[in-house]
Amino acid sequence: MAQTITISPVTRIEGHARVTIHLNGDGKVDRSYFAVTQFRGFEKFCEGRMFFEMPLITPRICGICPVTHHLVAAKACDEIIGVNPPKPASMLRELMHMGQFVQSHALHFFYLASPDLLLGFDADPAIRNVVGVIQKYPELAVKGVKLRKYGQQIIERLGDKRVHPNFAVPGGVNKALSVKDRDAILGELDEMIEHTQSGIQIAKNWLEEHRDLAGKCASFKSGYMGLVGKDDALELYDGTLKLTDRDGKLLERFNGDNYLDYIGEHVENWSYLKSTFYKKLGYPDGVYRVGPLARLNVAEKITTPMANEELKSFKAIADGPVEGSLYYHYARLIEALYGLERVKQLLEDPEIMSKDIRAESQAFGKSLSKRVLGTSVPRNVITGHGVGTIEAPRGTVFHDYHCDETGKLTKVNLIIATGHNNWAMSKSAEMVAREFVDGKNLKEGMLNRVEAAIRCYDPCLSCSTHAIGQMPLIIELVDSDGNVIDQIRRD
Amino acid sequence: MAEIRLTINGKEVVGEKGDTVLEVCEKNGIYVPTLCHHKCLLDTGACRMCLAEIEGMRGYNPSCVTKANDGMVVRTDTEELDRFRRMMLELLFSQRNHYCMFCESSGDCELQNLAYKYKINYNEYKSAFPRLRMDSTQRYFVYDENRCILCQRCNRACSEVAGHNVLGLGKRAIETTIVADLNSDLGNSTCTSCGTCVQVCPTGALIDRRSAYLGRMYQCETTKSTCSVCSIGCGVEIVTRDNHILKINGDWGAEVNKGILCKAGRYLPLHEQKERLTKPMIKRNGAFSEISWDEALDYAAKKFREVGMENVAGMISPRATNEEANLFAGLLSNGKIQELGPDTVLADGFARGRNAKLSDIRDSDCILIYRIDLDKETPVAGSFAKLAFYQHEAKIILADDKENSFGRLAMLKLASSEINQAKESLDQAANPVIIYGTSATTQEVEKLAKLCEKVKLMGLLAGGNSKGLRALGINGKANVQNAKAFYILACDDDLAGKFDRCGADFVVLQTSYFTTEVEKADMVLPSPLWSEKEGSITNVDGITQRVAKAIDAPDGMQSNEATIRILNEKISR
Amino acid sequence: MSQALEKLEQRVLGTDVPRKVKIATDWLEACAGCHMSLLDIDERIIELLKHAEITSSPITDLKHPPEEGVDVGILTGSVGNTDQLEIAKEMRKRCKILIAFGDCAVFNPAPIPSMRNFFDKDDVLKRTYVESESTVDGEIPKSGGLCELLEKVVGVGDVVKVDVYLPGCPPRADTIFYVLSELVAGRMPVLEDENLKYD
Repeated sequence: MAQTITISPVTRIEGHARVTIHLNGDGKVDRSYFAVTQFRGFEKFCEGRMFFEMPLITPRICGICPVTHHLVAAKACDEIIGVNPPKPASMLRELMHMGQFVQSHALHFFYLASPDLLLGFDADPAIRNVVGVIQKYPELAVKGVKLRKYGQQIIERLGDKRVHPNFAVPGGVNKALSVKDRDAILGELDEMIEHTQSGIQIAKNWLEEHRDLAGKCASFKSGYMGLVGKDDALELYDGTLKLTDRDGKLLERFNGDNYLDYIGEHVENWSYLKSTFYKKLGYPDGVYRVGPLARLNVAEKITTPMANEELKSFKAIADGPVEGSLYYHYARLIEALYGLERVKQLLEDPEIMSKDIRAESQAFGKSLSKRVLGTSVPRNVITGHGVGTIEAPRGTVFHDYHCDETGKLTKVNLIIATGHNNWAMSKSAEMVAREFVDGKNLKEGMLNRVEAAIRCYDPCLSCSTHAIGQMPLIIELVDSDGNVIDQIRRD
Repeated sequence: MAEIRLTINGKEVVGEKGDTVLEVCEKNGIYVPTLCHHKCLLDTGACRMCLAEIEGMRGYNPSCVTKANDGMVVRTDTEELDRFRRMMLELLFSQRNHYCMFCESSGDCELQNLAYKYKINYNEYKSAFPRLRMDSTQRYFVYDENRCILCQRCNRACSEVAGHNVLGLGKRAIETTIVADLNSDLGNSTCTSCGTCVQVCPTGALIDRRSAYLGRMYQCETTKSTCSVCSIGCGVEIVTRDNHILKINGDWGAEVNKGILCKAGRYLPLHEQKERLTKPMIKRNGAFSEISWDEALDYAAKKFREVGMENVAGMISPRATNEEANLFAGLLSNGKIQELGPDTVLADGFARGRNAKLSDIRDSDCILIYRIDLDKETPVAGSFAKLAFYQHEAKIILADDKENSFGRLAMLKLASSEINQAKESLDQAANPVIIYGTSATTQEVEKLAKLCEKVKLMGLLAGGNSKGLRALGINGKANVQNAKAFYILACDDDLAGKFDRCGADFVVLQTSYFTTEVEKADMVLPSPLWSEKEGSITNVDGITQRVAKAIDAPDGMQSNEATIRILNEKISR
Repeated sequence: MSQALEKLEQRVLGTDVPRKVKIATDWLEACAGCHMSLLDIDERIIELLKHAEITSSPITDLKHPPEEGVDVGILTGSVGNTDQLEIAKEMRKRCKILIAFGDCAVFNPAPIPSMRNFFDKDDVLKRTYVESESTVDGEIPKSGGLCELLEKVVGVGDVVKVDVYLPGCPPRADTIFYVLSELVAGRMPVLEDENLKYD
């Protein structure tokens, strides 16, 4: 007698999701589905607005990583007006981006993931949250709060607000860095590095203690994709995309501008979140993961010393790519460390203090010239098309805008980080469900583990569906006639 | 002016006969909220924010259009009035689609500021989400109907301040909207891109494209200066942040232009596509290479001494300041200096005390425009003529042999040879004015002057400081043909077709831009832009005004004055 | 509104043993920015937690406000689908003072989710799931279990009674701390000057 378990909503993630677990007659897991029930429609309702408004509209896709959208929208707009921002402007944008990485990764590790790691998957749901961590490990919790605050303050200094800042504009940024701000950021940097190291220690110790679990739990083969810089260094702001296959071998290197040649989106009937895949292999053979785990898998080195040492430890976990989803937590903290070291690199370069913060281009024209990669575009013509690519904390993001010769948007296409991980999250949930969910003896902790598998990906579901939805969490054991046999409520 | 006394909010205050109630309040420091009111526009009572309770008058009256009378008892601060103001603001927010969170004006928006002032944190009126248009066809700004509160400052400014009369209202009731001409898109209308409408818009309905999201006014500096493009010399306010110019506004307080600008003054300086020159360069083997200031000026001095200073001729742009021109004339004291440009000679000397001032155009009741297209060459003078036409029905007579923008306003269109036909109208007018430019020959101007005894003549010089140059003895043309060397102080002027080396051995060009024109020179010296230097220029009326430094020039630049001084020293050695 | 406040005052101030004010939060058609801004009170969260208890919230593992109810309910985001409608109603039922938190919930000025109100709901779905350049063999998701989109996105105040409207996109952390502190102390916050922002 087949039964269905529904976990709804998944908590301690950003956004709304549900997991439906189908059991076979023996009470074992047959299939499971990870569904997202949010939808807003940015790709339609931005039509008719001006392209230069996108750096302020698209951050509202997500309040955790608004900087991602703010910066990548500006990058797409750079292409629309046919300019490259001057170096100080790119450095400043990257500085804000690093601030975001630090705050978002700190948020995820200390506020969202740590309750599972420090209090245990099976802890009482009433305390299994950031408040519980604050109460049981107050010193550690303060470190997490300070780390997140540090990242947010970098964003605020540059863009006036922490959430939905105003800083990047087509062609550059709107404000130069002041000496006061630079010194303030540098002043606290070492302390923040220490806090991140504490987090790394916790993650490493936990993963070491639970080595078996980490190796098996939601561990599976997939492709990996991320931006890389020169010599395949970890790159979060610029660079080119590197896609590897299930064994870690190189499949493609490509410029984000040409993403349509490589990336497709697949729609499932039961979820508002589309799944991306590598076109040449089709769906689902061409699925790949993005985000910290994937980025560290495709990178060969990190250009900052401490993070580079940790990368070596990370790579030593496995021959070939690291596949266990729980290792996302470690990878995430390595990136936070890189973010902080990169902040230092940027601030110690005097060029970041320059006032050459904008390439002035007056883009308006009657003729529309089709943007061709590699050719220079006359500066006084709106090219009509721009693509921006960036790594969000959670993975690769593409913004693709088309506009008419007056700059009014005609088509908008957005592919957002967690979308690339959709298949992987579903797979992870299924694997953990198979491992731990016993339909005949349903316990709440089992279901939390399923959710924890999803949490590894730090999914940003508002982002990835650029849509909105809501999901409460009830687990019901339902027979094929629809009668409720057993029920666990999380209230 | 006769004094009147009123009691406002229990306080006795004094005003002048003819004041509106709002004006009396403003003069006495009593705050009254307004939205459609603007100090440079005639009031219209559109927004109803300034409603006041006036004893003896029924209901509430908009104080901006209610004449104040002696003995009036007025209240502007009652609770019910505040309630109405809140309601009006909520109705405005609900009528259209105001998305403050991504609006370019947020933080500087008068509608938003009033809503904050009245502590509106909620709106009980529901929006119907009407689908409204965004006109993005204009090159320099965008009109977003979603944010328009129909205060009509823009169409009032377009007619009352700038005189162009392009904007008006279209449709009716809830569908009323601002239209250009007879419902054209702005980019396809007779809009001249003067930008006055953008400057007066209180919300984010009219958005300057270039400065969108570049900073709130509290984050910027404002520098008062004078535009150097044409000889009118409009007062401007340059808005800057972190050494970048965000936008150029008209200075409402400037006597010459009272806030009006034109495309050439407001937008074109910020839309410059030419590559900037920042280092001295010398032509060697057909190509230009960078050299140091010392090397450059040593070499120039040597070459000038070689040909002899009496054989060095100068050309100076009318964008040069009086201070720069003074030093330039001191360097080249041989008298062989002329204004840079093809059309620089203004025929004058015939006015015999009947020289018009710019304000005479505005006050005139009959204007003869002779062979000059004001909208193209000096649009603000065009605005003055249009204001005369629209506000007190001045007769426009156009005498031109080419297409001229004023053709559609002219009561009488003549060929340049037919000006006698204008005599009757000029004679019958009380304040007739003739406007001409550098295209008119001496004979033509002589004829014009004799046309009518009381007519005043306005000869529009070509450049921002042409008048200042004249005062220093630098005329439109001088004897420079046989010069053996040229020193050209071009500043940030456009150079296309403006000079020829005429077989000279050595040409020094001091310019802001590295364009194909520099090929005609042997050495180029970088010049700061107009917004990067301090000095004064003199407009066609003879008024000397300040050009102010709003931003720093790029590293390694020096002022033109320093360059000329050092060159002079080196020559004298 | 004042009735609800009175009840809060009684419970907080009128008892011998100080009781923590219970807070529940949830997000509807939201981007999570308001919750992030709430966390932007940084270390002050520790001070707040001395006087307040966060029960259900997207960042804790309790999914519904406790049946016995909470003192302060916070809803962020607009109401755009049938699930969100139910959540809004449940939160209203289970809290004494309901805060519509952020521009999306307050709905003035017009918030981003409402931008789909200018279009036909089906056109919006079609653009994303069928027409978009990267979508291959798309179709509009429709299976049972996926909630229905409302024809038009509305504000929280349009579906339930709201006691406090807190605009901002998002409301600044200092403002949030002020509002919560005031409520915890039994007073109604006054939103003005730096605490009243629409962006």
